[in-house]
Amino acid sequence: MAAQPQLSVETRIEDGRVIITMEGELDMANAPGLQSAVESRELADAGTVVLDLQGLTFLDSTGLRVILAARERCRARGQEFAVTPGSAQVQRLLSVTGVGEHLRTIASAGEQLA
Amino acid sequence: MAASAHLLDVPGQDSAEYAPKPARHGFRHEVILHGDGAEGFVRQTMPLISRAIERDSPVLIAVAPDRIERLGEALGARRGRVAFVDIRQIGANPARIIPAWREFLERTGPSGGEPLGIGEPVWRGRSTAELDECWRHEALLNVAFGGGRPWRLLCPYDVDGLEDHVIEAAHICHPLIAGEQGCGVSSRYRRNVRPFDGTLEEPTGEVGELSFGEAELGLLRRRLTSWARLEGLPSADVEDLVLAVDEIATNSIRHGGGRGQLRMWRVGGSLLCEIRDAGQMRDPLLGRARPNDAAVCGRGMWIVNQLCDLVQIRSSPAGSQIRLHKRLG
Repeated sequence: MAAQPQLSVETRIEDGRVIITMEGELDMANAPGLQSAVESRELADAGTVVLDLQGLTFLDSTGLRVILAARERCRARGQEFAVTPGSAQVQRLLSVTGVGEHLRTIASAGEQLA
Repeated sequence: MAASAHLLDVPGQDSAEYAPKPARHGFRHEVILHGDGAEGFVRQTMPLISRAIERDSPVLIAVAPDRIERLGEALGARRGRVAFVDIRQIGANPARIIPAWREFLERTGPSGGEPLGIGEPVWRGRSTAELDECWRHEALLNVAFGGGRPWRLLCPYDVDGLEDHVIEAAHICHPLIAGEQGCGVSSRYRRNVRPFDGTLEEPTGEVGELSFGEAELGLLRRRLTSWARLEGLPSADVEDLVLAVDEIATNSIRHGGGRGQLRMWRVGGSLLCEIRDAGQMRDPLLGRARPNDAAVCGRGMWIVNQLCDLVQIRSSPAGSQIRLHKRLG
């Protein structure tokens, strides 16, 4: 049986903005990967945190919960928080749950926040 | 008969699951038994709708398109005073109906007259599995709205097109029966209906099976994707089905003993997926309340109800069985 595609999570800093890029599937099994990236010290001093979902091929409610927890953490620290749009499946989940309406979404990770 | 046999109560257990006793001024859940199709429907509901309009009550009518059309004609200039939705759209999966009534009540606010709803969840041509979920939905309305804000929900049943056991179940699930001379009490009403009781018919024919834990969650999605594609499910529907099964499987891992069993098969024009695990479902209204943005949990079953054509949950201390239906186009 083929190995389960893992979730790759990469964090980079651009102009004081932390960008967390995910590729693969964000589910219960892979959620700890994002969780630890979100909890890393690098995030603490950034003015803005962006979760780049463009390479995310699958998202379920467990993964969504980690994303929303990251947003709450940023809010509590007074940081700006945004995501980029994911695959059709990711956008479908955001729409069915109604979360998409309340999630600040920018076209690309480098885009300025108004 | 079959559909209503397991409606019979088991006293003294899980009393939290039961609906409150019907109150004189609370939620009124009434069945209207009529014949003669759309004509009979209009004849019996029109006086009640007219009275609600006179009292400036908000009115939402969730029925089949032929009823909407006939009622619209009968209302004439007053048509704009009531809101209509096609029950075949919003209520094909009966688990989506309670959220629609909740939204209606939220929209209307506390001012104006007592809200009136007319909802027809049961119609001729519904499959046995759908009807089995419809009476559970009807019983859950008493749990969801009993003891809350006063409003009136009338459920028309067209007796000409429905079997006796369906009518019998309507008597058991509705505390009140609306008639031409006002409204009477259903002597057969039972408020201690247990929505997760009963068994599901075993599949016949070819069944795909997979045992899973957390490490197999990705494998489970891939197996399911290739099977559903082979069966001819359009790709957007494949994604929906895979997400729904993933949500249930995640629940099994989290709350159902860490593991579960998936079975997949086809019946007529539908793909069926069923998950069994060792957990027991407790909340009778699981998946029937829209989660708010800040919700930490409880999204899973809501999502499943939005993505599937029918969801059947059976649960006891021995474990749970959740069956999802997805129509092939």
